Amino acid sequence: MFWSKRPETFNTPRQIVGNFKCERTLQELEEFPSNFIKTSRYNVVTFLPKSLLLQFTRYANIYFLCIAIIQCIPVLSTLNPFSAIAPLVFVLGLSMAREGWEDYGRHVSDNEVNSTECIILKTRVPTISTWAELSVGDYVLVKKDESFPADLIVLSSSIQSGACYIETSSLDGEKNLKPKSAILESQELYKEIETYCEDAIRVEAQVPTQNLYELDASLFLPIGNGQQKKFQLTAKQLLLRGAFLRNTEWIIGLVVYTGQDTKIMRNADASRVKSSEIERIMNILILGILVVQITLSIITASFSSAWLHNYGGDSWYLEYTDFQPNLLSFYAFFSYILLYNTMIPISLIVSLEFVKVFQAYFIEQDEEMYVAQRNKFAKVQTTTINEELGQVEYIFSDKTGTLTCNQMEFKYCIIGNVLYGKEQSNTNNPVYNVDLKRQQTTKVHPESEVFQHSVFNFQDAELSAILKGEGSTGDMPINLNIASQDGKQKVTLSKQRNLIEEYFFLLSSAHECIIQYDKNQNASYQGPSPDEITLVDAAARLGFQFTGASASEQNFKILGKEKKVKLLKSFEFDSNRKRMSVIINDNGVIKLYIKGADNIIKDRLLPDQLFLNEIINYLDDFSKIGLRCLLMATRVLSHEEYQEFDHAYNNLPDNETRASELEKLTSNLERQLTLLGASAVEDKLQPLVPETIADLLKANIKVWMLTGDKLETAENIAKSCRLIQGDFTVMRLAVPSVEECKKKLGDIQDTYDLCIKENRKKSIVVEGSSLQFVIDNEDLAQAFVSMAKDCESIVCCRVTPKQKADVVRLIKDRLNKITLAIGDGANDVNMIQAAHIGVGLYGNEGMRAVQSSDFALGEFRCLWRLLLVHGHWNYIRIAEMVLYFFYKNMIFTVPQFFFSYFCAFSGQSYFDDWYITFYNLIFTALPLIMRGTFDQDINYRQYCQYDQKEEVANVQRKQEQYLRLKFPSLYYVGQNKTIFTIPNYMLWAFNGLVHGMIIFFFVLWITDYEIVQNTGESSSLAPFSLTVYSCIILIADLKIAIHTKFWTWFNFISITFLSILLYIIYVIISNFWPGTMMEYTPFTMVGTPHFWLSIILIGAIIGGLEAIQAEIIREFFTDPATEILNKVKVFEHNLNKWVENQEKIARQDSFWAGIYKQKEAVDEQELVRFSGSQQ
Amino acid sequence: MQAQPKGFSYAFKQQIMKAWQPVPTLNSTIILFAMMSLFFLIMGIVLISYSNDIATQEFQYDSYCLAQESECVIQIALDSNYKSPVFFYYQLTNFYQNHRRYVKSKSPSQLSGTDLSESELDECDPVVTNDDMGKSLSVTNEPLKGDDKAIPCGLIAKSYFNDTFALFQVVNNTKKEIQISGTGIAWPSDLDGRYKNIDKNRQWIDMEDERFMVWMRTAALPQFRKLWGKIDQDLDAGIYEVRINNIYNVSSFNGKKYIVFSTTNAFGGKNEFLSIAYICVGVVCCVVTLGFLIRKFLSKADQKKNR
Repeated sequence: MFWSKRPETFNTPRQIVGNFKCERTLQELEEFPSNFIKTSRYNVVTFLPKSLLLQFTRYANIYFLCIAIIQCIPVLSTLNPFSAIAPLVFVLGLSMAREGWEDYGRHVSDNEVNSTECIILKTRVPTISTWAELSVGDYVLVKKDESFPADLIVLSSSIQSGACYIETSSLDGEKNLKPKSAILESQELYKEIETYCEDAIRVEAQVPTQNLYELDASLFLPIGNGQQKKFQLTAKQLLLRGAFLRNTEWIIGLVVYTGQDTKIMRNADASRVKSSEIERIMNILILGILVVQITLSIITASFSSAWLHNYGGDSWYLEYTDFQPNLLSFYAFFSYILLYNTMIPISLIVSLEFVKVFQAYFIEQDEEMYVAQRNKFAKVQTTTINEELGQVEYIFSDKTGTLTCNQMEFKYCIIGNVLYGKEQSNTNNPVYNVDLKRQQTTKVHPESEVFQHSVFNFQDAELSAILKGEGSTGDMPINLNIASQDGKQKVTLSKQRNLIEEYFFLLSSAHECIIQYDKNQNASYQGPSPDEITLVDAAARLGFQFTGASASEQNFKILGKEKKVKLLKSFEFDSNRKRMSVIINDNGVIKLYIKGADNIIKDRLLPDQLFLNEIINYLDDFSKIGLRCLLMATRVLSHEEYQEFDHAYNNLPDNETRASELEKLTSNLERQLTLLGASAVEDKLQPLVPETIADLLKANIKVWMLTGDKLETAENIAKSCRLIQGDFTVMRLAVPSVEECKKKLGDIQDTYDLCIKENRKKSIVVEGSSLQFVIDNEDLAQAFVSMAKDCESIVCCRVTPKQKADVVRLIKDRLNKITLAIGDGANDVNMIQAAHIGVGLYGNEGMRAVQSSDFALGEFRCLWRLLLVHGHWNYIRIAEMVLYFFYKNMIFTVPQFFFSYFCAFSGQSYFDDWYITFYNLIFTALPLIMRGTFDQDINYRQYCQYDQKEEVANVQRKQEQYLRLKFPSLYYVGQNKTIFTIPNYMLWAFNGLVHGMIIFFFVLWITDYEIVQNTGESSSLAPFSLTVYSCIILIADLKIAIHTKFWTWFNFISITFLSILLYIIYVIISNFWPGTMMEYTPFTMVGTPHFWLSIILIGAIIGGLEAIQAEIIREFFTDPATEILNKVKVFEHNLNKWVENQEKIARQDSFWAGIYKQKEAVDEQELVRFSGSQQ
Repeated sequence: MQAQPKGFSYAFKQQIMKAWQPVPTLNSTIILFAMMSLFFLIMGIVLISYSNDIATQEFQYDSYCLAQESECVIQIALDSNYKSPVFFYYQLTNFYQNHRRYVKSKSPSQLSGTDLSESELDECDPVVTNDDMGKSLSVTNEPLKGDDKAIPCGLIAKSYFNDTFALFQVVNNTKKEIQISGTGIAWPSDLDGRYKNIDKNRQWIDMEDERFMVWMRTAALPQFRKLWGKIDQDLDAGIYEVRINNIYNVSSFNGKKYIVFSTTNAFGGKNEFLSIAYICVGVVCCVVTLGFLIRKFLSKADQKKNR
C-alpha cells in the first residue's frame, strides 16, 4: 500500500473522525501521510547516482573530476589515466562507502521501526498490526512500557482519573516522567475497552509543529442524540511518537499525526556541518594554489609555444606532420595543468578526517574527563573542529547546572515577617528534626546513590515547635484576611501557625512535580526544575507531604493526616512568565496558589501587604550571598469568579491567537495576590569550578557568564566561582531606557579607560534589559563590544535563551574570534548552536543541550583538559599537518616544473605515473597521520607509573603538579594562531621551493651526462627521475622526523616501515612493472654509487639547513614549551642521578657510604632548589 | 593514592605512551655538525682523488665532417694515458630525447619480442609502418613491405644514431686499428630480456644489438652521452685517427656531435661537481660548527660575567 501516492506531510489544519471500524477508505488514505517512516536517503537503485551527486557538491571533488576527465583525453594526458582516476575513486569510494554504511543502518532501523507491532482496536477488538499500517483516526491500545506508534490523543487510561505517565527520553533525553491525562469526559466514555462508546468522535487539529509541548486541537465528543460537545485539548492530552508509557497499565489513544507529521520527525533536523577556521583558510590557500597552478601552466605553455616555433619544425626526430605549434602549446597548457596537479593536496582532506577521528577518540577515552558521578566520558559529536578547541578566546557559560550543580539546598524560608532556618548546620551530616524522622520511616527519601536534586539540611527549632503545636512564643497572632474580589469568599489566617500551614501547603500544592517509585517502592519527586523539587521536598520533610495527583485531584499527607483537594487548573512555569500557579478547591474554598520570581509577584500583589517590606529586606540580603529566591502568594476566588474564568477558558479561540489569549486570561487571574512568604534556596557550585575558571582566565580566555538570575545573585555566584576576583574592577550596566544606557556606557567607558591605563583587571555586569538595548542598537553594540572584548569576564544576568544566543553572535560576528558556549539545559541550546564550539553538559535538565552540542562533557571542570590540553595539542597537530602537507606537495612539484625547461616544455612527466599516484596516497601518508595523532609539545603527565619509592614518586607528582600549572600559559599558541599563519605558510612553501630546487639541481648536476657506473654506462631519464624521487621521499620523511617532538613507537614504525620500507618494496616492484617508465631501471640504479652519494649529499644539505634554521630560531625566539621541557629534562636527569646514588649507598659498605652521602647532600640541594623554583 | 593502572592500552588511550622527546641543544647541534663536517671532508677528499685519476677527453666532430652520408676522417690527440677498459662515447646536444612526443613513441612489448599487430602499435605513433620508418630492407637484407608494421616501430627507433666509428692509433705514420667492442655496453637490466628479436627477416634492425639498446634508453636531458663501445686495451697519450661514417644529421636543429674517451673508477666517471659539493658541504659544516662553538663560549663567558 505504500506505493500509493500519499503526501509526505499534511500542512493544513486537519479534521479527523474516529475510525471505529478501522476501515480504510481510499480518500482518507490519500489525505494524510502514512505512518511509514523513511529516514534512509537511498535505495539500491538510487544509491549510486544520488550519493555520487552528493560527493560532487564538494568543490574539491569537482576539481578532481575535471582533472580525471582531462587525463582521459589522450592528446592532453601526460600520464596513465588510471593514476589520476585511482586516487579520485579511492577518495570518493571511501566517502561513499561510509555514506552507504550509514544508510544501511538507517534502512535496518527504519524496517525495525516500521514493522514494530502495535494494537489497533477494530470495532473494540484488539488486532495486531504494524506501525507502518497505522492511519490517522485509528484507535490504538498501548500497554505499559510500550512506545507510542504515532502522535496520539489520549482518550482514556487504566488509571481512574485518566492520568498516564510518559517518558520522553528518546525525544528530549529527559528521564523524568511527564504526567499526561485524558480529559475527564473522554475517560468516562472510553474507560472500558470492551464496551466503549462507538459513536463517532471528531478531532480538529492544527498544523503539526516542532514544539513538543504544544497541541492546538479540540475534541468533539458525542453527548447523545447525535449532538457533539467541544473540548479544548492541550499538550496534556498529547502522547508523542517514540515516547514510552510508564506507570500506567494501558491507554486508548486516537491517532492524530502520523509519519513525517509527528513531533519526533519534525524535530529531526538535518545535522549541521561545522568547518573550522583552519579549514576555511586552507580552502582559500588551495584556491590560491590553483591560481598558481594555472599561472605556471600558462607560463610553461607559452615557453612551449616559443620552443615549437623556433625548433619544433627543425627537430626532424619528432616528425611533426601537419605542424601546428599554437594548437600544440594549447595542449601543453592542459598537460601541465595535469602535471602541476600534484601541488593541490588531494589527500589532505581525507588525512585530516582520519587524524581528527583519532583525536576525537583520545578525547573520548580521556580518564581525566571522566565524571564518575554520571558515569560519563567526554563525547565528541563534531569531529571537524577539534583544533578550534585550542583557539578559544571567549567562553560563554550558562550558570545553572554548568557552574553550579543545579543541586539545591533549601536554606531559609520567610513566612510572614519571620525568617526560619537560621540555625542550620553547615556540616554534611544533617541533623534531622522530629518531623523528618517520621518521614524516614515511610521511606519517602531513601538515601540512595541516585542523583538528588535537593539537599536538605534545614532545621529550625521554633518552626518545628509551632508545627508540633507546643504553644511556642513564636506563634503570634497575625490576623491576615484574604478575600475574594467580590467578597463572597474569605479566608482568615489568625495565627502564625495558620500562616505557616498555608505557606507549606502552597509549597506542596503549587508545583508540577510528580511522585515516582523505584523498584523498592521508594518514592522520590520528579519535576521540571530542581528549585521546584527542592521546595516540594522541603515541604514534605517538614510534614506537608505531597503523595500524588491525578488530572483533577491532589493527595497530601499533612502532619500525618490524609488530605485531598480538587485540582481545578494548573498553569505551568515558563521563562517568560517566571511564575507558576494552581487553582484548587480546598474544602469548598477556591484558591489560587502562585509562586514566582520576586519582581513578577511584587507587581501583582494587592496594595498594602503586611509582610512585603520585611520580605524585600531579607531578599536583598539573600541575593547578596547568591541564594535563589521565590515569593509565594495566594488569592481566594469565589465560585462565581471561577465559573466565569472557566467559561472563558473553555471558549478560547481555536487558532493561532489562542496562546496569547490564554496568556492574557491567566495573567488577569494572577493578580490581586496576597503575599504569604518567600523561600531561599542555595545553588551549589560544581567541583573545581573556581580553579578551572581561574586557569582559563590565566590562559587569556575571557569567560562570560549568562544567567537568568538577578544581578546581585549573578554577581555573587560570579565572585564565588572566581569569575570576578578580588583585584577586579566591576562595572555594572542595569538601566531602564536606551538613553540612560548610552549615558551609563559612557561612564563605563571612562572607568574602562582608567583600568586600561592602570593595567587593572576588569569585569562588566550587564542586566538583560540593558543588554537588549545594546543588541538592538548598532552604536551601543559597537561601544559595548569594544570594551567587553578585553574584559577578563562579563556577567550577563536576567537573560532569556534568545539573548544568550544574541550575545554569542555579538562577539562572534564582530570580532572574528573563536567562541565556545557551554551549557546544560534546553535554554542553552540557542547559544550552543550559535557559537563556534558548542559544549553540552550531561545535566539534570535533560539531554537537549548535549544533543545539539559539538562536545558533551560530564562537568564544567573537564573544560580545563578539553581546551588547555586537547585543544592545545590538536591545534598544533592540525596546523603543522596542514603546513607540512603543502610543503610536501611543493617539493614534489618543483622538480617537475624545472624539468619542463629541460624537456622543451613538451609536457613530459618527470616521474613515473604510479610513483606520482602513490606519493600522497601511500609513501607520505602514514607518518603524517601518526604525527597528527600522537604529537605533543609537552605533557604534564610524564609517568605512566610512578616510581616504586614513595619519596621519588612524591617528587614526580610534584613535577606533574608544576607542569600542570604551566599549561594555561601555553594556550596562547593556538589562541594567537601562531602556527597556521600566512607568513608561516609562506615560509613553509618557500622551504618547499628551495628544497625542491636543491633536490632537482643537485641531482641534475651530479648525474646529467656523467658516467654513473664503473662499467661505463651513463645515466638516462628513468634513473634521474628515480634518484630525485628517492630524495623527495627521504626529505619528506626527514622533515617530518625533524618536526616530530614526541616519538612514540607508532611514529617510528610509520616512518621506517610504512613509508621508507614500503617505498623500497615498491621500487623493487616497479622494476618489473611492464610498460612503465621505471621498468628495468631500479635494480641497476641502486647499484650505482651516484645514487647513494646524491641521496646522502642532499639529505645532509637539507638536514643541515633545517638544523641551522632550528638552532637560530631557538637562539632568538624562546619557545616556552621547549624551555619547560628542557627544565624537565635537567630535572629528570638530576632525579635519576639522585636515585642512582641512593641505590649505590645502599649497596656500598660503610667505608664508601660517607663519601656518597656528601655527594648526595649536594644533589639533594640542587633538587630542593629546583622544586623550590617550581612553587 | 589510588593504584595506577598499567599496560600499553592505558598509556595509549591516555596519551602517556613511552616516547622519546628529543630536545635539540646547542651541544647536540655542535656534535651533529662536527660529525657531518668530518664525514663530508673525508668523502670529498676520497672522491676528488678518485676523480683526478680519471682520464677523459671529448672531441666535437660535426664541424669537421660537414658532408653528410660520407666517411670523414679526423685526427685527435689524447693528452694522457688511458687504462683499460677505455669507454668510447658519442655525445649529442640540443637533442630532446626526453620530449614527450618522443619518449612515448615505442612499444615495450614489441621490443621484448611480442609480435604485435599493426593496430596494437598505436603507441608508436607517428611511426608505425615500414614506410613511416623509411626502411625497405631487413637486417638480413630481405625486402620489407611498405605498409607492413615496422619492427621495431616508433620515433626513438627511427632516429637511431647511425654514425659509426673506427679508431686507429697513429704511431710514426703507421695506423694500427684499435678494436672498439660493442658488447657489454648496455644498461645491465636492459639485457635481462627487455629486447628480443621477433623475426630478423621482418626487422629492419637487430633489436638485441647493444648499441640499439643504449639508444633506446632515452636520455634525461637534451645534452647526453651514450656509450658506443668499449676498448679493452690501454691507450697511450698520442695521436689517433677516427674514421667516422657521418650519416646522422644534427645541424638542422643546431645540435652538435662529439666523441668522448673516458676511463672509470669505483665511483663511475669523472664527476667534479660531486666531489666539490662534498668538500663544500664539509667546509660549511666545519664553519657552522666553529660558529656554534664560539657562540657557546661567548654565552658561557656571559654567564660567568653575570655571576
